[in-house]
Amino acid sequence: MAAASNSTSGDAASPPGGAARIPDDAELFRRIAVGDQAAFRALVDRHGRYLFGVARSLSRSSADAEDLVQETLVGLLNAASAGRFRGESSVRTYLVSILVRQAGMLRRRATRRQEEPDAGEPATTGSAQAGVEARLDLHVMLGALSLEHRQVMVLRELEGLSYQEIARALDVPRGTVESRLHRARATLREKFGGYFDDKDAGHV
Amino acid sequence: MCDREQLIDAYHDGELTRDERAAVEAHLTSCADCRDALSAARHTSRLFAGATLPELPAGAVGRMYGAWAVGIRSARDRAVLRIASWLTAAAAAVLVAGLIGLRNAPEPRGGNLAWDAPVNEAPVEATTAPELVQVAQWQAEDLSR
Repeated sequence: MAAASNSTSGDAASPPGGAARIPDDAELFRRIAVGDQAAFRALVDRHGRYLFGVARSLSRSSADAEDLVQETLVGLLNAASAGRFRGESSVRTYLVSILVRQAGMLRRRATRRQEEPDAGEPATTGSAQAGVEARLDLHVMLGALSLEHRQVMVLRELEGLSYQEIARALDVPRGTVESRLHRARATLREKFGGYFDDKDAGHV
Repeated sequence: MCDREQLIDAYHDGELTRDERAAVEAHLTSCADCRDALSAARHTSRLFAGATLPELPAGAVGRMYGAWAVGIRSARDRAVLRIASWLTAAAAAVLVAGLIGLRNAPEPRGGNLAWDAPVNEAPVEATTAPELVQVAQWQAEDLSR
């Protein structure tokens, strides 16, 4: 994801020369845990757009996506004040894991209220051009998939989690992760095959 | 469509053991379907890596900042609950201490346990401890409302 490089090295050492240091995510998180609002805002500045982008690709509307981000950030603050997050993943990955779980919970709640199931959005933007690197909106790509498939694709393709980590984040068996990923990719291949360049066609 | 295509995804994701990888690579040399599946998986990953994100709606960052106030409120609520459960635990401790006090109190004539004794001969602890428990209980209930 070009717009959101993962800036979460655990390096908290001061740079030589004592120049003003930009705190990394882990340090921001530690400050948030002791009630530093400015640190929270800095974390939002750093990851807000990415979180919204992922949320948008898991939601029906921009407003739903904002609600999802809101719940995710509150979840992070709760985890910070309860000392639940111990830096086993990057802060960004932790945020996305909360977000993806929240999306599942919101959907279950909506289904209980018997709303329309999430239909996703038709892929209408962009066009396939041979030889040109195709760029698609994340939510256009994920809009072709069911919520379960979007969840695994976000955690695998954007956050690079292992199958085991995805299974834990979603509380499903590893085999389920494997089959969902496979079916999600098959669907994407069907819908977006025209965007594939042929850089490695036939190459093992 | 080859029935090993799911394995191709696991191969692409680096989820196989060394032996499994070798088996998949041998299979790929003879199965065009699986070669296509691998190529598609690689293309898909590249599409995700280059995907664009939507612009933030106007005012969205300000609304995200607003999560702070909500988070602080729920943290405060949890702190109150923690104090309430601590008080309940303290009340239980007082109760236990009271009972131990009763057991260790000078045994009334002929009785086995303090509460078997006639009321007017009961040791002092027997009347004070339950009152303390009750007060702590009220405090706990009040706080957890």
